[in-house]
Amino acid sequence: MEINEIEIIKKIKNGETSEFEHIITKYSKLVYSLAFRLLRNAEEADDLTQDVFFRAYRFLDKYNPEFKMSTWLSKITYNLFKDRFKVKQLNIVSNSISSDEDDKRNFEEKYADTGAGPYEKIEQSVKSRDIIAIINKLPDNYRVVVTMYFWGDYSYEEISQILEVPLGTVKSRLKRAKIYLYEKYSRLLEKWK
Amino acid sequence: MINCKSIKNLIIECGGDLKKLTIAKSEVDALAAHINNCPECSKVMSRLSALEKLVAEDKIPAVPPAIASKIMARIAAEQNKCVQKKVLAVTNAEEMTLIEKIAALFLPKENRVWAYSIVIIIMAAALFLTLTHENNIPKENVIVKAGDKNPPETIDNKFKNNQPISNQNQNIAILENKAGTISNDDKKFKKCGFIVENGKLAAAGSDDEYLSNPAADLKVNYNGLATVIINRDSKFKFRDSGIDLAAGSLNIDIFVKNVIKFSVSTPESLVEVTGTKFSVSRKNNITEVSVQQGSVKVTNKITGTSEILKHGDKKIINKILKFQEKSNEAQTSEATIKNSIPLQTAGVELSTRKTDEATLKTDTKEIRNDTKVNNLIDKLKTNNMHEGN
Repeated sequence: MEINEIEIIKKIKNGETSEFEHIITKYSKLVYSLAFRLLRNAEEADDLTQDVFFRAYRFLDKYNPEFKMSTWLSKITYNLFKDRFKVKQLNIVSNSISSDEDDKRNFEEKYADTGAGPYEKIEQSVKSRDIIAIINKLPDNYRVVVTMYFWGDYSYEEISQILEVPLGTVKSRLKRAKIYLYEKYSRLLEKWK
Repeated sequence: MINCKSIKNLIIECGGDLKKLTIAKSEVDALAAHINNCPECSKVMSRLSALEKLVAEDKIPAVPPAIASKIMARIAAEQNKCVQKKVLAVTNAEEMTLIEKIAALFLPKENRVWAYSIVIIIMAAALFLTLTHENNIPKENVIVKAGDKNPPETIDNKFKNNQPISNQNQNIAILENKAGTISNDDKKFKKCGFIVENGKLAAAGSDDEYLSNPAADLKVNYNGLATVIINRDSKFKFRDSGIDLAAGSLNIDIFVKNVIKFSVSTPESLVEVTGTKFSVSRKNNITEVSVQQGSVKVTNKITGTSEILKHGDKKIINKILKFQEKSNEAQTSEATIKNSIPLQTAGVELSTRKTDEATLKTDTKEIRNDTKVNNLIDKLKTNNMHEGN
């Protein structure tokens, strides 16, 4: 943990609430990304992100500086997601495939980012969407691990801490998920031909 | 030996980055050489690379710009709420009663309702016990007997006046009958549980009936559980768990509540102990029961009805009235009796409206005049016989 971050936390604990905005600014992308990947819904991801930081503020006394702030916030995100998932399981399944609006937004962003021609971009987008759909259809235990691994840039150890499962479990889940994805992708390649 | 299938799993495991594998560098080099030369493994490698690229293609919307301000607003609102709660708590503390303040010191808010309930229950119980205790305080009750011309004597004095057994040794156990003196060790007495403590008694005749001394009261003890003072000139009989009173009066003081089974029987009534101190007298076929302390159960032997008399209650049961009602039953309808005019004489009221039990409810003072009562009974007797004819 950075020294600057320790100082910020001290100030917050001493009543300087406004300092918490620094924490939000620094980690909002990480929390929002994970929330969005898990929920696949921008609005819900927004709500979840707010809840995560709000909870982090309330329980800042319980934060152990030995761990990374990013890991602690991700853990809160995952726990809140689990709580919501119990209630909104059906909703999440229905949202696991991106809505038209999401597709449009994703396409526009990809189009703006890459220098490829429109045809290649559409083709790439469709393929990407198919892969994401496969990931979202994975059993939840696997989906969370894959999400954190591919997009969260977390190490195995961090994933293990966030999910509160043994390191070996994380590795085995990830390996099985990757093999499954590869097989599915291979079949898709045949389909795309 | 490494085959292509296991290499494929290794490639997938490390995501195409062989350096991530936890194997020796020489093994990594050998693996890389194999992949380059093996079309199948090269295909896996390229597919995996493409797959990861596609996954990475999936971008997410940008973080909503207002998210930080929204969170900070929520935090500020939360802080305000906390401040308001604290202010409210302080205000409430000032408005709290003394009991609430004490409760607040020891109990969390959610448990206070229980605490209040318990306090209320305890207070109610204390009040109940206080009232009950007040009722149990012996009071100077007057024993009123029909025909008594002397000033009334309290029942407690009666018990006090009887000297203890140790001072009256010479008077103990003297039983006189026509056949001569009989010891207090008489088996009849022992069997019944009675011991004469003070006074004399004489056999009245057959059937184990006795008379108390016309000059002094007789004090007997029942199994160490009760003291019975049989007033002078009374005719009675000892039996198991009680006394049959033919004439006269007696006072009973029960030491052990709710344990002893004791009763006094007269031809008209059965008086059973449910409490402690009471007296029974019988004269001119009228049984009078008065309760000084506790309660007794009185059964009218003629009608079979029972009732509980409590502290201060008095009950008079008249055999003559019932007898006459019974004797005229065939001719006198219940309606006739109901319609008969209540007799009122010099403050004494006799009512025959209740046909099921011919009880006379009289005031304590009013019944002192024995002559008036007798006159009244004679009038009622005549009236009922006349109606019967």
